[in-house]
Amino acid sequence: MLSFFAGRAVRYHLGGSETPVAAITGGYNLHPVDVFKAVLDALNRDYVDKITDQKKLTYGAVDNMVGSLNDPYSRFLTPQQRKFLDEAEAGRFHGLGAVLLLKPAVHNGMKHFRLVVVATVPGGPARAAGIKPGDIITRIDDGYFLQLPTESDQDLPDRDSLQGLIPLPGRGDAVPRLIEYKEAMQILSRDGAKVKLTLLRAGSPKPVETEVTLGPVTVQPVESRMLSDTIGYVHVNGLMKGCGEELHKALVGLRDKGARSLVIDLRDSIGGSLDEMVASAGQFTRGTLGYVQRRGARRQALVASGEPVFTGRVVVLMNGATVGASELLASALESRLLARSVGDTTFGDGRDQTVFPLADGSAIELTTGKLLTASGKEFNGTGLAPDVRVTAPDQQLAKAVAMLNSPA
Amino acid sequence: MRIEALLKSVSRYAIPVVGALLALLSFTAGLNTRQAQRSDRVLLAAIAPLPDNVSSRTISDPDDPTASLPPVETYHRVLTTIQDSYYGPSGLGTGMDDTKLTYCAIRGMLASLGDKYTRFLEPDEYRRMQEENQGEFGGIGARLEKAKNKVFVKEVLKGTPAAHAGLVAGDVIQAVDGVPLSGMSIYKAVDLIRGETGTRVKLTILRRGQQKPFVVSIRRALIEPDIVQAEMLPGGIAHIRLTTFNQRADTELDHALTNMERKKMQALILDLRDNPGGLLSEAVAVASRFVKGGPVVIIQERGGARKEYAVQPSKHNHKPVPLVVLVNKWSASASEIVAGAIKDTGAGLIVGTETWGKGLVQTITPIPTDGSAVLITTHRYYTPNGTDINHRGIQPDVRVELTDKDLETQNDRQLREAVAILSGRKFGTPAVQAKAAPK
Repeated sequence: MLSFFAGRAVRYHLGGSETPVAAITGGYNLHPVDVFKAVLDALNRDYVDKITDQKKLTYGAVDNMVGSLNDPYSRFLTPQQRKFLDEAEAGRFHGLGAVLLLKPAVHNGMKHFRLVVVATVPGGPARAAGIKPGDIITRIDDGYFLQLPTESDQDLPDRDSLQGLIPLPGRGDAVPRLIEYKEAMQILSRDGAKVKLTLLRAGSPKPVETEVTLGPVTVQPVESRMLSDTIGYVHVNGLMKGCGEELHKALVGLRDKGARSLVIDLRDSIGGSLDEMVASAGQFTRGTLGYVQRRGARRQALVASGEPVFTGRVVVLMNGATVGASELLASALESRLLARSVGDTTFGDGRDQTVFPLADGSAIELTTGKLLTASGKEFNGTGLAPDVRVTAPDQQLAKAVAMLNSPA
Repeated sequence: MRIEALLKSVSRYAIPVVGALLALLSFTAGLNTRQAQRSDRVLLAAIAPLPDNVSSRTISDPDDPTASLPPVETYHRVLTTIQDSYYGPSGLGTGMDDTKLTYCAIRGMLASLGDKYTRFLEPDEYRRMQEENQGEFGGIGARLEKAKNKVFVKEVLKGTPAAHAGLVAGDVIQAVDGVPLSGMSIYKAVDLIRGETGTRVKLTILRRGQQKPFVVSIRRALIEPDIVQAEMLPGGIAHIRLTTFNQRADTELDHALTNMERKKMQALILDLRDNPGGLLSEAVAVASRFVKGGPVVIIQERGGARKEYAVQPSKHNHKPVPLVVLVNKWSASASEIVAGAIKDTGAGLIVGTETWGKGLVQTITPIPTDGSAVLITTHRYYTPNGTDINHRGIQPDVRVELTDKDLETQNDRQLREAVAILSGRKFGTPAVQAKAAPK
């Protein structure tokens, strides 16, 4: 998930149980290190221009090594990207204000990734420009987006394989300017700049063109209000830092105003840290909320242990832009509170990432596990289906309220 | 840049000549092997105390932008982190061993320099490059090409195992020894087909007009693809095409010139179109055949010291005749050295289009540990007049473009222009004789 300028914050060192760097003292396999060292030595000794910037070499090495995993969720972060990621975790989103994903696809036998909008944040540039979850970004200014797998045996594309994917000019070898995701991310993270985007949208016969003024936006994790004398409403925008605490305050406020039942709106909820997921669910329930499955069949339980503040009836709203830890929150509320859910199937991002910092502020982010619901169910790629499917966005809330108004 | 450069090579060099592609080599293997061994010993001492140091600094002070990230230490820590913690598509980690990840790290490190000619050769790629440079290898004798994601036989070389087995141009190779080729690069496919002389390879072939693929088992033999094609055109004009600068290039050219002299050669067209280059030593030898004296090329080392490669008089064993050199934008590196020397010394006329523009020399450093090698840009070079052709290429004396229509109708306008010049129908005979005859 390419979220540094955008949406979902990523979990660092989950639950304090990770000791990501200090623990790495495994024995050297001398053979490959030896090869790397020999190449580096030859380069420093022989390259036609003396190499003064060793850090550039390091970045190149680490970036390509992580890139070779071809996992859209695993990547190298420059110090600036890491800073943006940290800020996103705290609710400040740079650039587009959207959660993007590289989605694998095949066209004319050519494996590639498409750049998909998963969710947009409220008040952000993407939403202001009418960009919608599910949109595919095909063009950024004059560059056509094309991300090929890193380090594969696949040949680079010729005209035949590009045909139909990218508008090609007349004859010959000429191909329009192509940009890969690294350059795309650079362009899309320049706050204040204007960019033109071309989007493919389901149901729209023609590509949609739009201009976005990039810029930072600060998103509050929780918004709340009363829907009637007895029904309260909270919207969790994302599991940003402080979400649990904000939710606590909101629920106390709603309770004081007389809320006896509650709509918990997790639509367009972009996920975030599992710590905040546990803190948020803990406002309603205690016990096991789900699991993180790690390498080697290790399973780590996510357990809420505090004092719940709201124990009334609850209906959960969800949609295709309910992402990551927000999906797990939805499933936890369903299973522990026996809450009913309304809306559409969630996005299906059930992977857990960890950020491993490097000394200069850069970092690598890796997929280090997958999320399982309290009943041990996996939802990565499939999403979680609602109890009551209501796909029209403007009817979902009404349906939730109707359910709360009817006898249990 | 990566896409553009390789698009060109894919569309033009679908024939597996990757080894020669834009690689101008000066072999300094002995020296580099020695140095690499010395650095092995340094390595053992250098990395022993590393993990604790690096880790503790990272934990205590994770955001110091001035902190250095030593390449070996950082690469290794990330490698270990990936192998220990990466979940992978099915919870089983990367599915890649340390060596594969290391090769990826090395390629990324080299790419960060922004020099497309500095690159890493995995053991099999290095072996293939050596074969290309030697001009012989164990194989079946079929030129392959890839189009529409299919690997097919472009040409079957006469007298080779592929010819004996009845392969024909157009046959689609679906699998090699049962390994399907779909999604695989042509280089990888070539690797699978080549092998030790005498061993067998099973190809699954789909032939036009047949419903079902069939399997054919072929015994590999020593393949020496022709790198020189010579024919005598009317008027005593010899047309000699040199396709690469491997270790046989100058010898084969010598034979072809002898052959053409027997057929009363009056003038010569040296065709270097689509010749991607090869070995520096061969470039100097070939240029020496046409240039009377002085430097053939000037090589500049790191630090600026320059060294001239002088004409080798021993190569003047053929009678000088008026000369035209044909070039195009796929004439690169060694081809440009030869064309540049001939142009600067007035030994012949350059006809065609601007050349590739690679004024850089690479050196191969073999890595003894695993049989891989690294190709590093180590020198710049200049033509005898001191011209830097990097990114610029060599401008032809007489520019002749081939149009799309020419290509379709196989109308070789450039060759016809060369013939016209040498037969005196262009520019008048005396001028050409004066300019084109070796001095």
